[in-house]
Amino acid sequence: MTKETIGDPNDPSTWGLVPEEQEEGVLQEGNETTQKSEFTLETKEEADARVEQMAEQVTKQDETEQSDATQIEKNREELSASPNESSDEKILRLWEEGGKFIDYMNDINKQEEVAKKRFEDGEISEAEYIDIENRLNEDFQLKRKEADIGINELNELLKHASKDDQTPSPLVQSILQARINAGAGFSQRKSLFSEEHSKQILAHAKQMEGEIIQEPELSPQDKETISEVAKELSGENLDDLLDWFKANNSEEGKELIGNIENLQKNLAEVDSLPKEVTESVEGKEISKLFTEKIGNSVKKVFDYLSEIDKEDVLIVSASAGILAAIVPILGLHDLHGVISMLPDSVSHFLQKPELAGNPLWSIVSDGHVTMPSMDNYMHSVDVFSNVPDVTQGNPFASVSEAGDAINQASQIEYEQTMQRMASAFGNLAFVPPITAAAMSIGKAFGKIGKHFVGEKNN
Amino acid sequence: MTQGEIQKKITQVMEKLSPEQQSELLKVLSGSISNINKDLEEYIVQMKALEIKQKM
Repeated sequence: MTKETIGDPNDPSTWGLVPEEQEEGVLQEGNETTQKSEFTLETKEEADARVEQMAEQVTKQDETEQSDATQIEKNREELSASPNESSDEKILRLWEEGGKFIDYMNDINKQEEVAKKRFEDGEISEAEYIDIENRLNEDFQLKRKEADIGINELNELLKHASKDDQTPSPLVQSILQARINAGAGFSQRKSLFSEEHSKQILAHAKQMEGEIIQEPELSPQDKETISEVAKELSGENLDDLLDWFKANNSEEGKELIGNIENLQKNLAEVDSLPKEVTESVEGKEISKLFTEKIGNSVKKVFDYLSEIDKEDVLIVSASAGILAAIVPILGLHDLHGVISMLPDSVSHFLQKPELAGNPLWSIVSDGHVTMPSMDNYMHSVDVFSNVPDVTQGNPFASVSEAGDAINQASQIEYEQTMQRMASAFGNLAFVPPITAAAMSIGKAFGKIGKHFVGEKNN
Repeated sequence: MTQGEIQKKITQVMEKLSPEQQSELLKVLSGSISNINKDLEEYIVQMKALEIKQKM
């Protein structure tokens, strides 16, 4: 009789529970029947002895029921940390307790298997085997009650910590994600609760905490101010957008400005490097090395953008901002370079049919802002389908299509479309600071694309 | 949909990002650019070293 956790893997409230028919162990009629089928040739005397033993067991269980409950409560009190224990600390403690219970279940199953084998091999009598089973079951029932309380408490805490109106802590995010990843199999859930997995989750959560600075919630007045400032930043001048950061005392914003300014200085210095050096054999080798390094860094940014916003809202704005910044300032050549850096996640985003409802494709298809429609989207597909090389910005091109020869007419149409898009985006006000940053970064990335990816393609 | 309406819509969408998300994003972007800067600075150093080597 294996004590296997059952329940819907997608319903944490069912975790840690055993099947109803197992709850009373050998004391239930169904289990007794099962045992009878396993142990045939039982004599009347043996059956009477076993019934008597079971009756004693029932009495004993009744007597210990109360003390069990007391003991459970006592154990839980002992396990509870100080009154100052935070929600995350409590969640982690309960999570680790769940892991210990799974380890215990594994151990008890092994003991049962050993006992069964010894009985089958004739090393122990049936009575001894049943005694072992009963003892293990008694212990299991006690620990399971404890575990159930802990699991229910954990589920409640997780439920509360992941309400829609608040951001779950890194620990909660990690646990919820781990549960999603765990799949349906019991063996997978065992690994989910394993000590090693708990360590990984804890390490991941700590890493995330290190990367996140918790900022106080903006007041309605602050939000209104941001909105007002943002409305004023309707021009195309990126410097004006950067000034937004300077006007708002955001530490992250100041740091970002500093890094963007350094990036601009570095790129200017890269531009000033003598061509006879950069285009020499050794120079190209160095460039090749750094193309990969810098390309990876750029990719990480896009990967991050695509991960943090599940609804792709940020990707829409950031991608659009980056594209808008690159095209008019640096030209199509650089856009190609940057698009070739985009990870699959962004490429897939750009191919989503639901983007028919996004102004991006209205602008692409018609050259001006119109009501989005499926017709606009399909026209976008047609326009881009005439551009065979996926690295030239065709988000709809397949790999096989990429090998086709470039049609001069479609190339012109493509360039005109891109210019219209750039012009339209240039006129749009991408007001929030993040998009402003994305535009500035896009400008810099365009230069990187020109210098590094451009060389790579040549 | 007018340009103003589009602008309003984008603003509304972006405002859905919590301050924490904005803060986190700025920090990650900043860190990423910092890493790119380090790569670029190393690249420049190596190119300048190559330039000196070629002149010698």
